[in-house]
Amino acid sequence: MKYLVIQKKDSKAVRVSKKRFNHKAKRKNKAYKNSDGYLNKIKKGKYYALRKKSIVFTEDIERFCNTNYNLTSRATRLVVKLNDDFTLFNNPAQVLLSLLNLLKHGKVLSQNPKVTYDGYVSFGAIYLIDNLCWEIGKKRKWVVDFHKFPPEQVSILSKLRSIVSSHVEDENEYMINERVLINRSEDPTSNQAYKVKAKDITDMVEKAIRESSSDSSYQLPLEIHHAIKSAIGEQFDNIHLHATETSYGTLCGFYNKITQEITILIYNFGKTIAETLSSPDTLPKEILNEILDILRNHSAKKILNFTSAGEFTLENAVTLLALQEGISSRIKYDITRGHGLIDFIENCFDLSEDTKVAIISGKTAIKIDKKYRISNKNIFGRDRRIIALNSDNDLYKKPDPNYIRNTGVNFNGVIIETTIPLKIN
Amino acid sequence: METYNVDLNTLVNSNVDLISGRAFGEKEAEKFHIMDHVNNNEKIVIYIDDQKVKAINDSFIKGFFSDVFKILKTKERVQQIFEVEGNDYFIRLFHKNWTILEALYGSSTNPSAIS
Repeated sequence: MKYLVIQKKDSKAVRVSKKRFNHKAKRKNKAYKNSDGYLNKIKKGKYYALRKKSIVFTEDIERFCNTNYNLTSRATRLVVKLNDDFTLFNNPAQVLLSLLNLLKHGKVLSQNPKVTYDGYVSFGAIYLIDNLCWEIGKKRKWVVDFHKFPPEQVSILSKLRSIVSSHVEDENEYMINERVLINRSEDPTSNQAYKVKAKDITDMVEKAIRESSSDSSYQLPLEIHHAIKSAIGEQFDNIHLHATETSYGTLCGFYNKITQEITILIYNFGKTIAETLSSPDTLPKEILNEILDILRNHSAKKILNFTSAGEFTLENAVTLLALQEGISSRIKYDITRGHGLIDFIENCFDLSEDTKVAIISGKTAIKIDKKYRISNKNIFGRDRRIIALNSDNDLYKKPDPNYIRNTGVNFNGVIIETTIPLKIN
Repeated sequence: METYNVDLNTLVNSNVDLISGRAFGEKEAEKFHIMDHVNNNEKIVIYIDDQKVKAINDSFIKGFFSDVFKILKTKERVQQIFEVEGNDYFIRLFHKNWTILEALYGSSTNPSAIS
């Protein structure tokens, strides 16, 4: 390859031209790693030089993208606004749509997305986005333009790096993040990694409180241990028992030292709650008849709309029924099944009535707070703990549409976000 | 009446202070031969040290006592045999789950979800 030699007598303009020529000559036969060997000759935009190969995500994320591809935005530049409403609890549809659009933009990389701060950052929402979008960051340089972010929020976000197991601590927060392998050994006494992480999370909260109260002997009350570990243990037990094809669950514990709130986010890909419960031959005939009776009642009263775009769909109704005591796809084999979710919700609300729980599975998003509480009702042949999300706590009546929603975005798995204010003096 | 001790503190270690999992509960009940001791009409004392065990999940208790309630049916009969030695919080937790198990097994001879 011939190069032009830069000589002493050359003027500045000539030197620059020669350098440019040499660089061009050097680049000519270079194999571009991500370009599929093809150089895009049309100069357009920042990335004109290369037409990059589309990223292929993991199988689960690809399924999430492909199922919802028609919902993605066609805008060339994506702007995500973080505010009070951008939370898994208040507006899960918006969070999932933004996640979907970010993943699509990551694939085609037309322009870097912009994330703007508009008053509030919900940890659960941003963690979920960060966790899944690292799939893009692993494969190519992907720059997110953070706009108008206060320094403390920048500090939190810069340390997130949720793709790898991490333990982050600073003056405002503590975070433990782990992708937990589900141990499917035949021997149930073999250790499950989530138990170790559950201890790490309670240790982290205890340490934070010791530091803030300057009481080195402070011990977290058993009630707090129980609520936090119930939120983690019951959900991982569900993944272990119901999501049998799932190898990993993702667990993150985040403690805000200022508000003394703990957020636990757990998600896994796999079957949705409604898919698990609706699988053939899972429910005993008697329970199935009772459930069908409720669904027929919803249909007759026009509560339920059997189209996927309806306000309250069949999937929404089945997911809500799965929360009730003693309703489980495994009930045929063991009548004590179907208590995990209701036990964990009850334990968290026993600790603090300001607890907030968001459950997202398939197109269904359920939120639980102090407005609608668990109470005992005689239903399906016996007394059960019921949460019907309406003022009469009656499963035959329409639930509050603000508390159970059809998001329109199909998440192929389960996301559960629990926020518990610990109220420690 | 002979007494048999079940030490749940052996199920935790320096890295784990949570006892959790339905299948784990069922397996531990087998390991401690709980049904043999129930059938021999022995007194069973469950020890929990709250400095070692910080949480026991409801699912573990349900798994551990599922077979016991199939035979004994009522909370009253279970309380005659089982005693929990530990913090009041754990005692209340066991009693709460025993009440739920009694509702499932106690009122029915047919182990169906709908009695």
